[in-house]
Amino acid sequence: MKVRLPASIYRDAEIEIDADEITVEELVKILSEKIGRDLRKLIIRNGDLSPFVNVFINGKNVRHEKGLKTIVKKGDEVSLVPAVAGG
Amino acid sequence: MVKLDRSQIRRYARQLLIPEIGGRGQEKLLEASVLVVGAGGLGSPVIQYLAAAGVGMIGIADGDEVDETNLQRQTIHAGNLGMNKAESAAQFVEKLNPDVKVEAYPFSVTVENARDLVRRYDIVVDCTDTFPARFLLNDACLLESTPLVHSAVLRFEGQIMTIIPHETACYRCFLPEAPPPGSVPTCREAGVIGVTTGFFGVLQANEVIKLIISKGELFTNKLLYVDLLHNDFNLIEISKHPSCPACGERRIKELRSEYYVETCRIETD
Ligand SMILES: [Zn+2]
Repeated sequence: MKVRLPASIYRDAEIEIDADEITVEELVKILSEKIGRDLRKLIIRNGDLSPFVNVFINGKNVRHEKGLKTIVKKGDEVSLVPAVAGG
Repeated sequence: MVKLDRSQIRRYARQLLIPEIGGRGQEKLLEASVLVVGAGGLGSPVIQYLAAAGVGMIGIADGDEVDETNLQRQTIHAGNLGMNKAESAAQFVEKLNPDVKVEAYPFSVTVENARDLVRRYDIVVDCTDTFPARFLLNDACLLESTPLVHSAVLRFEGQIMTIIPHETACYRCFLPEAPPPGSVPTCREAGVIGVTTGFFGVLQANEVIKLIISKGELFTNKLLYVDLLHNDFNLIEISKHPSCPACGERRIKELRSEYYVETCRIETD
């Protein structure tokens, strides 16, 4: 699975994660270890998906699926879309 | 209904040739009224292209004054340092196209005045630069059933979505509340370049024109997120959600000042 991290979250990077089937929560943990920055603080709040970051799997918002428990499969494309407010 | 006169037929000749616009579309544009909130980086191209296209009535709200740091991206304020931005933008519009009636509101949109301002227009364009202002406009447009074209930018990145109240996903369906203050950099802290605001502002103006002429497709129930540094375009599905704090089952019934501070959370009673 491929994870896109925009510059406003982490240096603009596309990161490949080798896993067959994991939850978003597990993905965030693996990703944090891989990039050496704890993304859990950003993405998880009170054990739930934080209300100000959106995680999309193949263009679908996991907030409207099973949140952190949503399954990511091999070959999926995950994008993290941060909130921006500039104008 | 307005009828195009000779000079209008010349002025709009190039767009009158487009089948989706034509005489009827141009009349719709001349009859339309659009409120642009924020006359900064996004607002500049929005105001410029809507005025040029002949949108008949443009309201411009902005409480700030033009300063030197604005000029690398706010392209309509030439020579107006120190002037209120809404008034400076109105001057630009008057010079560009005498067909457009322009109303300058030299103040910020607040909980007190938002619904009243929104109600006077057919469409609202969100060109503001803070989370509270964005949530406030979303909620005011839901309450007044006024279509809203949202965009926000940072550095080379930005996003756009169009909201048809109660029909398509709203801004809070995408983002229920704002990040804690300080956790997301602002343009003032992290920077922005004029091409980013220009790109997204032009897309916003295009959404407004399509809304007015009822043609084409809109960024409704989807959000376009673009990283212009890497030419990475992501069209993301956003669905209208029953648990949305603004447009869901427990939708908001009024604007309350406590909804627009810090994280802009709506506490349902
Ligand atoms: Zn909503």
